[in-house]
Amino acid sequence: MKAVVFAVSFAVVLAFMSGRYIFFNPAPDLSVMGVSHSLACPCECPMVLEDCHMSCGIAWKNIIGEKLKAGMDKDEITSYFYKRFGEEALLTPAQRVAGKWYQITRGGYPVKDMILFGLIVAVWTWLLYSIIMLAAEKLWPSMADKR
Amino acid sequence: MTGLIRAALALAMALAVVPAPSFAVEPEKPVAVGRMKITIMPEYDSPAVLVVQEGKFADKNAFPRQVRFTLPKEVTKLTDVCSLSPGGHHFCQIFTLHYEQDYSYIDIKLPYSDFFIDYQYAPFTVKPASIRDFTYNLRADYAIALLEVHVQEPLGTKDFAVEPATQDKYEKDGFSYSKYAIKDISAGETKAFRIKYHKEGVNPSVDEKFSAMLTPGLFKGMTGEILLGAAVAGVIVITLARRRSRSKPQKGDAS
Repeated sequence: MKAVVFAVSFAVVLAFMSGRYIFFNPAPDLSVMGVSHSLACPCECPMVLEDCHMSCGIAWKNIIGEKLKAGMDKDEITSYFYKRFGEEALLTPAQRVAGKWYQITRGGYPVKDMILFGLIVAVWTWLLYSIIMLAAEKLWPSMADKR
Repeated sequence: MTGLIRAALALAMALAVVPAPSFAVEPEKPVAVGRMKITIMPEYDSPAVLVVQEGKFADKNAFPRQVRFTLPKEVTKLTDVCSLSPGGHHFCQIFTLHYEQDYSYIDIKLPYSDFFIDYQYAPFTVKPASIRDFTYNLRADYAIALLEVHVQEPLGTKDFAVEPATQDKYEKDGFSYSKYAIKDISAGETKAFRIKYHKEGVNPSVDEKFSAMLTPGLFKGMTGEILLGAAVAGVIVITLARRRSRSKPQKGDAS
């Protein structure tokens, strides 16, 4: 029972933390990073544009910067890329997951951040597990007595 | 039995007179860079100097192979070390930056002859109304047939100068650049570019909002530390609560 609760806690925390990292955009919408979070890298690689520093990716980011300065918002800029470059400019959820996984496996983040990520997942897993066990002890005291 | 021993001895003697095959690994032939372009952007989107180094080794058949790139010792952030396939695919490499007394370096295995490195380094401290004066030293790890160096003039500067001086200047995306094209650099040779200017403000040329060179981190600011701290505090509270709940006498307990 404990092992199942722990495994579920781990899965929930990992899914939440990974989802936050993959899908949540911490940059403001009206910034180059904010817009490039929604676009694919044009350099024939699986990256999300925000992680791409190659000249082909930077050219797109410069276009985003120009459009923002011209007063366009995120949706307008995304539509511009869709109209000009087609569907390949946009990201499906699966492509986004693949792009972010690629960014991790290529060592795109500092070791310190990766360690912090691991620690957060570990401690939040333990916290969630403890909360569930505490709730179980309160709701079903007989189960706690049996332990 | 004696026959077997004799046969074994004969085989051993025969092997002793046969010259042993040489397993010595031939040293890799030295490679040379065909073309390399270095773009130096002081105070572009941060108080540091952004450097983008891209190029192509002349002999594409010599790859994959281990190569070394020497970088300035003041590197604060090495963002990308990548190789590019002929189809344009990135193959970014996991790297470790090693520091020596006067420089830093990375040893990486490049799958293809095209490479791309970008990093930030901080050769000066940004102070308001001050002269920024630093020298970018390129230490060529390999012979370079053609080296192009582009130095971006930060916005809002006075008396911008690069030594050696150049007449080759151009404008691009609202920035002025000084350009150098140097042929036939030998391996081990050093090329120095002294960049000097006066700047009143401390803000970089490009607002973070419009920067194409930023990299998203896993956590923004201190959010990672806050998430971890909150979880640790939560674990302590829950552990205490569970202990309290266990030590509380249950109804019906004999007292």
